[in-house]
Amino acid sequence: MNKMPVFIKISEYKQIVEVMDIIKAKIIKAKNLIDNVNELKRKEDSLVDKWRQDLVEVEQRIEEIDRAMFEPETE
Amino acid sequence: MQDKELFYVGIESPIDFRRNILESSKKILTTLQLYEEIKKLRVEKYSNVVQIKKIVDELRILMDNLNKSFPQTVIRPSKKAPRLVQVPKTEEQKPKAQQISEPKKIIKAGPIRDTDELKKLEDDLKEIETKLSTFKI
Repeated sequence: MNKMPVFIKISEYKQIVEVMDIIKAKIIKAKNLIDNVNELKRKEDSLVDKWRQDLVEVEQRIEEIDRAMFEPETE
Repeated sequence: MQDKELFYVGIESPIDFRRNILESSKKILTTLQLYEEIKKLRVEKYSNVVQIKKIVDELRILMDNLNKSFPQTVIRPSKKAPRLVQVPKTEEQKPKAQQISEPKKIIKAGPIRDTDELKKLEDDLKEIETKLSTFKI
């Protein structure tokens, strides 16, 4: 019964078709923006990873400096 | 008065030592540059999110207008055989046979409370879910 088609009389058919086109265009635009946001998030995550790696490298160098400072030659 | 004892610390590899200090300083500076890049990305991301929000708000208004353009009745599939009605030809419409189901119930929208944005969205959602639940599957 639910599969029977229902036809509705529409008096402002043309206007509704225009509104539907606008809605579809806006949905496409929103989807593109969301894709852009995802790409920016990916770049941001990549930069934050690099941030972390850089800090680990600095930590290692500081440890070397620390070792050099506290394992001196004695005279 | 006791003289202060002076200690001298020997650095085994002074060149490496100096290089480590300079490389660390350089790395710190590049880290700060990275921060600026991340900040720029976040500004761009936020700008995109604001645009998306604006579009979704516009979509909401458009959908409301679209909803109002259609008859505000609940159409239920009838158990009887459908009545066929010939629609007269117009310039915009092609002639089609229409099946009309008798509307049995008109759902009146409940009062929407004046609350903050999130609460208002929840109320609108509940209203739409109520309308949807009237369709028998």
